[in-house]
Amino acid sequence: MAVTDRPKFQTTGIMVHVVIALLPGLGVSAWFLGPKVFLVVLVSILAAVATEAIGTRSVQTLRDGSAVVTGVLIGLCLPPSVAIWVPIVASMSAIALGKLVFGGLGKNLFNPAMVGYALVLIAFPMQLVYLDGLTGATALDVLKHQERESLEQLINHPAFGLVGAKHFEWMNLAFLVGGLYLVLLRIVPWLLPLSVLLGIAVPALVFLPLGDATYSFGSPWFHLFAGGTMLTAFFIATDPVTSPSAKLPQIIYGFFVGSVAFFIRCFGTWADGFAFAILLANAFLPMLEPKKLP
Amino acid sequence: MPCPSFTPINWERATPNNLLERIAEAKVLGMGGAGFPTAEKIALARKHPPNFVIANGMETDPGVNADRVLLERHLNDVLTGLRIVAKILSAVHSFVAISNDNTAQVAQGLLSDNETVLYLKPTFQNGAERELIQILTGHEVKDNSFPAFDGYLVVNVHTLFAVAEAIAGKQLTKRMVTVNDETRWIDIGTPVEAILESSDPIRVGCYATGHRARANEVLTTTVNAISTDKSVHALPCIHCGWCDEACPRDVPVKLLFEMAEQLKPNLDAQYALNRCNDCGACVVACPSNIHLLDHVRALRQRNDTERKRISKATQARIRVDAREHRMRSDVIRSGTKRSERMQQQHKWQ
Repeated sequence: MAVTDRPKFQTTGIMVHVVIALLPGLGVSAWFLGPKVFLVVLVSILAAVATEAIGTRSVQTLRDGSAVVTGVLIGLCLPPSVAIWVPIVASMSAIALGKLVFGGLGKNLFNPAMVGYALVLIAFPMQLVYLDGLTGATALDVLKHQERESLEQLINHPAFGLVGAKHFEWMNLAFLVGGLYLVLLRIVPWLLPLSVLLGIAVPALVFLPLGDATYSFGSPWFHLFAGGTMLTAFFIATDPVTSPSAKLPQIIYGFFVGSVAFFIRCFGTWADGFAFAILLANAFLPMLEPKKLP
Repeated sequence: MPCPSFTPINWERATPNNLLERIAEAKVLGMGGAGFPTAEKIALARKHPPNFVIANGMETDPGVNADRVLLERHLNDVLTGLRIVAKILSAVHSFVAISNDNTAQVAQGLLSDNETVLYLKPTFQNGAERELIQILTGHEVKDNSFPAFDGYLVVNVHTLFAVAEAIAGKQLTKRMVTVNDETRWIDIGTPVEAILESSDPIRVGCYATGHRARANEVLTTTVNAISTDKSVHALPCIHCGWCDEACPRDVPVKLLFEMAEQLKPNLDAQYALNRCNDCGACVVACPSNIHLLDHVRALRQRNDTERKRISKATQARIRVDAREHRMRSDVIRSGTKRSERMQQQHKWQ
């Protein structure tokens, strides 16, 4: 009956729930891309935890669980066909350059997982292509390197699935389910993922009539269910440290992330643009957070 | 010094003055926290009739159950205390505000015509004196006045219990205290370290709003809880913003915490610091167990020291600047009046 004197979740509990929410996505990824996904995730976790322990010369900071979450996210971002040293490099740079140099959890400016992922994405682009023969070129690659194709032709391409990218649409659905779990527990503010999704769907809707028989930009449904949309919207953009906590900044931040990712997908060099969108938005974060006192 | 022993008084026959004298003799103090002498408080309200008495059973300290357990076990004594105070004041009406649904229903059957019992959710908006008066009677006590000047007397239920005991000839030597999760009678004057043995530091009061136990501190009449201090195991701030969300007065807690961490005074923060009423909602909300209230209090202390150091003229300059800034910002909208604040949805329960 008394007013409780405990928070709804402890920080460690938040991290545990995030990992639980990632499990359906992990399972579906392994189903479609092969069991090597588990190996990549495991190696990423171990490398992240080891880097944090070595970097801080103690195991004290490990108990908040943030290193594990960073490792899982990096493992899920990387394609399972990578050489095994790539997740190690990514996780080590994520923890060391993304977190520890800023002074540890809570003081980092950029999302650690995205720092590590972007680093290997730039340094070893050939390693990060989905080359398992099973999926062939992903739908986002097809979208990027298309030659005179209309929306109908694109949709009928073998790399496309029911609404989004083949296989990836089911992974996105699983991440959506896990993300909704976090939203229902009120660990993640609902506004942030919603604005990321709107941020990618609205530009896609605007550009939809601009495509013609020779070129198309993909439908909003395709963009929502391709690449890492749901993973980013619910798990990466919602990292409390590198995202705003007030309502209006959340809308701006989310919309910025989504639309930058859309433009990178359609006009940039990279197949998927969420890593750079997140890092760019992180750089703008100090401007978004109100520092004004009443 | 031996406790003075009193003869029991039959309060239904005794004169109001006799009853008031006995309360003064027994040195009954307000047990809700302030520790104001109850006899003086009653005498003050008596000068401003017509009078209304409110028994405050709203327990809003997080994790504390002392008043609720007292009401469950000694409801009759508390109601007797209420009637004694009502008799002294010839009160028009008495109210009982209880944050315990079952007890409120039991009390319903025990009341006479000019008494009302009301169950309220234990939120911060309901617990404070002025807010409670407004909820129960609709009367708004002006910010420049005091409830007693308007004829309203809000008394904590444990104080009413002490009043009933005093009239019955007993001096209160123990009180209900919540020790972490367990609520029990503890003798007043017991050393705090003897009540709760723990390797972590102890907080006198509830975990959220209490202070760290000083050396050789003992239990006083106003302390309703003894708690273990979890904040020594605090994790880093992850900027989740749950503290800002939890604050019933819209204080930018996260910002104040960041300022406090710089270990410097910050006079710009004074308006926000004054707005905070130390309720502890932010401490409860923090997933990293950071004791935000400690940081806010430390910043307040530093500001006090700073204000003593700098000249009056500089202070006036800062004040004028701050006011101009405030007028330009949207605080006018968020800095709502109490009546509007109460209509806001209760953010916390």
